[in-house]
Amino acid sequence: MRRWIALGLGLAVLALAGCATVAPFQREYLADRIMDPAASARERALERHWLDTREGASGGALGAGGGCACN
Amino acid sequence: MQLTGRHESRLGRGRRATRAALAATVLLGVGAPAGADETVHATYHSFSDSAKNHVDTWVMEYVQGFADAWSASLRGALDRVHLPPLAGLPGSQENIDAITTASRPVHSAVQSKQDYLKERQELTGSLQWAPRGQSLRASGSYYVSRESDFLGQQASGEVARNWNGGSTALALRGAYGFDALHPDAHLNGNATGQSRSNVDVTLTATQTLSPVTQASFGVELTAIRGFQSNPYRNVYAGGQILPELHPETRLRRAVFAECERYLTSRASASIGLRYYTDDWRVRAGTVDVHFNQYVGDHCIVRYRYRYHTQTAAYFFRDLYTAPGGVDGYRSGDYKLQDVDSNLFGLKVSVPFEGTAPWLDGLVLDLKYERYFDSNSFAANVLEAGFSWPF
Repeated sequence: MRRWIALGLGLAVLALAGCATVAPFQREYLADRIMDPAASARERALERHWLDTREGASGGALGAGGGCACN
Repeated sequence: MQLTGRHESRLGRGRRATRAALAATVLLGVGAPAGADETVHATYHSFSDSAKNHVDTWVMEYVQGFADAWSASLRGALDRVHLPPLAGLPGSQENIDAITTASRPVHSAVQSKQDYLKERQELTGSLQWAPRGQSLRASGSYYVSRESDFLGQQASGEVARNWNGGSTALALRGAYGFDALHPDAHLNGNATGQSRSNVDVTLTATQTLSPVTQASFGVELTAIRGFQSNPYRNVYAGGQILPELHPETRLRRAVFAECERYLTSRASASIGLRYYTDDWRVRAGTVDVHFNQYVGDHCIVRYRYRYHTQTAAYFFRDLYTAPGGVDGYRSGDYKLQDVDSNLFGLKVSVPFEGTAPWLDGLVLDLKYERYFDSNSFAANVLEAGFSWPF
């Protein structure tokens, strides 16, 4: 458990170190529709529901759905 | 479909609850104040697999912005699951295998030879606080999923903060879920009510690497305690047909990373990696690659490939020689065996921009995916939907 927490914190520190500060006027491409990962969040939630019934290595959030007939 | 009066009553109540939720979603949209930020998302999802199981899912979500910094959403989903008749007689070795591929209760030989239909209703309410010009934002949600024999609930909260003018972001999400199972009548089954709970913590960092590249990475921990077997699944062990029995605790850990880059020629590519382990000794790795391309002025085509590989849980066996299984545990759960899987996908998104003013912002989506794994399982996924801000 401690190793995983340390790894998570290490990754967070790396992120906070910041590789670049991109000004708002430089975000044209980052803001493009094809670059928006949040746009697929709903799609991922649906996908996770059926992938959880075939693969035993999901994160486990959003209800395990043990009684579901599609399980 | 064979259902008892009690089940029909439960299903009836569930249907009414879902219809009420979907109606409330629509009515909220109709009754929202003019000029507010409102969006409606609707999706139809169809899943068909090589075992002839079929699931239709309808989802509707309504998002309403208010008081500048706040937004609320209500999401309703309905699953309609259709499972084919079982191949052999109840209790036969053939059916033990069949049951493992579809967790349907079997209470008689006649019923096992009929189609089985089940519904699942899901409702999620969310509240988000994201003031403009500030680096901090927060959200909370409550989720409930209901079936004739299952009630799952989850409360979650998330806090996120930006630094470096938005180039760096850190998000912490916590969730607590609690499920109650009330198994239907089943041959060799135990109808005792069961429960379990889970705590999930996810930390995600996102970093802008350049004006065309961004990356995110994080870690997720989930602890589950309680009944984690399938109450309808039996295992052939030591010459006997016995109920599946899994450990009652599980600690799941995952690290993940994703990098996304805008390419020349109006395209983008992303790669996602995930590594997972747990104390049932399942280890898994996943690679997910996307390529997005504009076709014409607005239309987007997405190509996708996903590869997943995992090892079996330490107590999973194809055949158990003793009734006690391995360390007292027995499993017929295909999710806990060795597997390699592939997924190919194609998605087309058509935004309506510059056509009619009342259509501005409307996006239509159509997706097809083909999934197959090393255990001779295959599935087709078809999805159609729209998002419409107004």
